[in-house]
Amino acid sequence: MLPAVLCSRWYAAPPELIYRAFTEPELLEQWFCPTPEIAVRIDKCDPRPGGSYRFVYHFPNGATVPVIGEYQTVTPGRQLIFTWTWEPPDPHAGMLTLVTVDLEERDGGTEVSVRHERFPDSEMRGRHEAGWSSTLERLVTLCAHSH
Amino acid sequence: MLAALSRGDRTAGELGEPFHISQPAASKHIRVLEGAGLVTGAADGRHRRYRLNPRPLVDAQDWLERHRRFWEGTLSQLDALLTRLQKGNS
Repeated sequence: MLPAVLCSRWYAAPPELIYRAFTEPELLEQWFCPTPEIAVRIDKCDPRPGGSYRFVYHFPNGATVPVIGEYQTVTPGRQLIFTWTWEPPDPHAGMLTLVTVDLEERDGGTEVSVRHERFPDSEMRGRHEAGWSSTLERLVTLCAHSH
Repeated sequence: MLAALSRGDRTAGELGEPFHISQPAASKHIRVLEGAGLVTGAADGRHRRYRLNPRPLVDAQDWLERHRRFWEGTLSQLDALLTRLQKGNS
């Protein structure tokens, strides 16, 4: 496994409001993308254990890249844990990773910590990683239709 | 075929064998895999041997860096939303 990506930031807002921003589609569409030039459309967002989501990123050049996942832990105002898998055409499509979002009340506001982990390393990629397998499956399908 | 290649290098004939297809038919499949950058072939005497090439999938460091930028950018967008929401409430 590769190391986790960690990112945290303090906000002058209560955890409850931040939790809503992470779980309500109409709020997510207003911020859940890395730059204002990229738009995000929430296809599906069902924040309960076992519920799934699908967000689609729309780039200025017209490209769209979806990300899908399943909520594993849902603790309102405290924590969200969900799987994170890019879909084609992302070059890393099919690789199952895990995101943990922790909300902690601090100094009259909230510390938000994101931990994105389980990035497979090259050893696993060549063997039995889920993403590698699904890429293989797609290629096998492609081959089966290329007669 | 890719499963077979993950266990070691193979010729087109060896790759086609489990599917009971001819070598030209197997070669056609292999060309698709080569086109996708997943398989590379090299001459070995009279035959061509094929090898799995997982490199085009991911450059690990680049991958992590991309996600770090994604989360840093995304968390900074949250600031603007919270400011708007709190202004709207007051």
